[in-house]
Amino acid sequence: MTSLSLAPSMARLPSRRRLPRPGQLGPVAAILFLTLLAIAALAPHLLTHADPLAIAPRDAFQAPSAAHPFGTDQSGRDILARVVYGARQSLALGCGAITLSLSIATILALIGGLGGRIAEQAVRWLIDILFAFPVLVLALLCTATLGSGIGPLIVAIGVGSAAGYTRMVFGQVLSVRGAGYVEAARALGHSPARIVARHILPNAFRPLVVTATMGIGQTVVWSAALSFLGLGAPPPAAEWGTMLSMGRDFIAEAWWMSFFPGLAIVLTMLSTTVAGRALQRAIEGRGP
Amino acid sequence: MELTILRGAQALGSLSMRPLHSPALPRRALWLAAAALLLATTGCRRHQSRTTAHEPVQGGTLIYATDREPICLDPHVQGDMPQVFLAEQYLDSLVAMDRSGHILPWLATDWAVSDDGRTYTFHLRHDVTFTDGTPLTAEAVRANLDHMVDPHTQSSTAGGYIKQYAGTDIIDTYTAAVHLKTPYAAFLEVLAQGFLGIESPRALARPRDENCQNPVGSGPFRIVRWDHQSQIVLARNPAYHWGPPTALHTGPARLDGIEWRIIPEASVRFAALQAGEVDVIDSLPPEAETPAQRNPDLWLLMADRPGNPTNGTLNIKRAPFDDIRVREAFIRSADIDGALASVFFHHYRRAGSPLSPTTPFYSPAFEHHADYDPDRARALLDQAGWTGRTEEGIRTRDGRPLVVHIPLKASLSAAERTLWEQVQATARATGFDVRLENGDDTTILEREGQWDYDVRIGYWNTSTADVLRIVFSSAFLGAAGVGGHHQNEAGFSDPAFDRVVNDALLTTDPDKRRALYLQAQTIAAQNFLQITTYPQSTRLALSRAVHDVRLEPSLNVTSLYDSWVTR
Repeated sequence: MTSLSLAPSMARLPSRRRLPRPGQLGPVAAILFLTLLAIAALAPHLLTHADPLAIAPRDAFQAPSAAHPFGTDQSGRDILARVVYGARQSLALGCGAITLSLSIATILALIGGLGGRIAEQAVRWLIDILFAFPVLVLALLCTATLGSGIGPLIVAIGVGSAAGYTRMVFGQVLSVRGAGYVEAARALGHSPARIVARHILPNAFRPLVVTATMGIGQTVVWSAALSFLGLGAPPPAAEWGTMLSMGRDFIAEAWWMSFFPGLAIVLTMLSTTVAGRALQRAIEGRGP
Repeated sequence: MELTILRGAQALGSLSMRPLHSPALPRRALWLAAAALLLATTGCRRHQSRTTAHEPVQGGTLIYATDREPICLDPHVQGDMPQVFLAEQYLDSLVAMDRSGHILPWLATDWAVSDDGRTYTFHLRHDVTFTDGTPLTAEAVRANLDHMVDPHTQSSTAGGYIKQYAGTDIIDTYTAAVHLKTPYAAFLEVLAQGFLGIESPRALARPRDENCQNPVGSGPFRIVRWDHQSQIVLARNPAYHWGPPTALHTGPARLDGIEWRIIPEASVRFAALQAGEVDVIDSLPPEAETPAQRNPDLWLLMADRPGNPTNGTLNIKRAPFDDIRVREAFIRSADIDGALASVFFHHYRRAGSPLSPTTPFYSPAFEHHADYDPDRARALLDQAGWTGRTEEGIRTRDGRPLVVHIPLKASLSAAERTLWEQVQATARATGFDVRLENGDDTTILEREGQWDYDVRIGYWNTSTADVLRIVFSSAFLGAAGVGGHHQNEAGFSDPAFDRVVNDALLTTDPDKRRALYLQAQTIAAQNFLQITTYPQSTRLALSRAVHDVRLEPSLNVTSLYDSWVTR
């Protein structure tokens, strides 16, 4: 039994404990930023007292100052408040879309991996077809049929990015289903459901944890791209992509309008990537 | 101060111009204002630059950058502003209009109107040929007017303007008698617009979509080719010597040609101008106006367009705007001046009346008939029974919240979009839940066709007060044009109003027309059918190497016929 469980994907070596060193400042900063993001999403009033929707046309286009650390936008709204309140939208989108993507991927991969030869071929074709469309094009197709707003956007990005995850989970399921420990479990008379739940899924998912973490960042970028195109939440909702899109028209006059939401998007992407890699190293136990 | 004086000039029905830099120095500003006023009232011949000592230069190509690509180059089809801007370069009209609204000869040397007002007999110039070699004859006039009203042309604008057209009789080669079903006093005014430009009858005989690609006119330039989503190339018509009386010179155009570039992104267009990649840009966005004024290499040419100003039209066919009190409350909840002071940088003035100030028979009496007044708005909503409140402070009546749906087209400019966000915020303070609904242009056109909106954002540029009949009379409640939208987007139907605007067409007596259009403006204003925001305007920024760019007065559309460039 013990030797069987040493299949590569099962290897779970404890991460070697070390003191933080310069190479780990990145992950620490990333986790700090992600924590800040989580606070912004869950309790935005802790970070700003301004109302993200309150307009003051006569205070429009004010440069960053003590009163408005990130400046004001074209309607005199506080940009710091809008960036902070926009975090909830962005994270909800990111996490929602990833969850949807992984659900679709898991269902398809299990059908394809365990449903026999025809199902396997069908899933392969489906993945190939989905892959033929770039994510954003698929997402645009979704928003065209479902309309704009946060719900359709989650569906759009979730469906749009499902192909990649499906291929990963599918590959894992295929490699795991022939593994010795699965055969052993079958020989022991375990029910198929138990085999899937206890052996196949955990092993198929492990490499996915890292990809999904990084995927959240990618999803935030995609949702910003779609809301940049005017397909996001309707006004006046604070959304980073929409803010960026609006700011670009005034970039010569008010750089802060696009700089700060842009910075938030970049830092989110960067943090999830750095955190994801750190997670990868922790899981795979490889040193940096 | 400069602004105030300029407004005075605009109120005279003249060209508004802010030609130079506007530093904060009061003395200089005063000088500029005085100069602008002088120029504005003298027809703006010498506004362009300090280089007026130059003699016009022959030759060269001018690069003009615009925001939207025409869907068809023939302005008869559909009839949107990008089409008429291009049409002005390659088409001539039967008549021209000057700044004071007088009709002048152009392709027609003179005309006679029958006593019953239903027959217009045009005498044409004998020396005009289209650029495909076809001579201008009475036959061409008939072919053009027939083409505009042909349902297959799907002409929303030109066809809509001459619904009264019955047919044309050829009196002789150069004399055409145009018959109308009913008298139409605005007929010559609309004929002066590029939308009703005269095209070669031989070219018009081709299938519509072929003619859309390379229509043929008799204008100062001819269309060489159309590189879709990139540019339209035009070349000089060397035979041209029948320019309009509003032009600055006679004979062929001075430029060898024009490259008419499509650059949708406003900031990119302005950057291209600053980098010297293009010579002239139109639709200068409000945020670029101050930088353009400060740039010593640029000058600006601007004018308000006549017609129905930029507005949100309230759909009175369904709740909540079927109640006039709710309409007035909504209009009075909207702080338009706040938007003009912020995102429009004080560069645009408020339009409060159903007509833009440059429209013939415009009355200034309605400029402030529905100003921002939240207290009155609240009182009106109370009267109308919207007295309940949701947790978020939205008013309710019989448990239903006071929701206003406003579809926003993707092509809407950033400034316009912001204006409606600010309306949303200020109207919320009086208890309206304003939903701004983004969508692509096609989807929103469909919604408009089905009356599925509470506010429709639009405008109507035309050189006549008869625009009131188009946007508010019951004759225009039906679907029109390619998109199937309704020209009367308010759904307003009032026999008294119909009678007034129809009567105004029966007489050519200016005093009678003025009185009738005053009545029409009164009825439109009293019914609170639109939030009017600012007049539509042509806003050009030009390199100082470019001279004598003119706005043709009928619609204040760019004319490059007189233009020349110094390299």
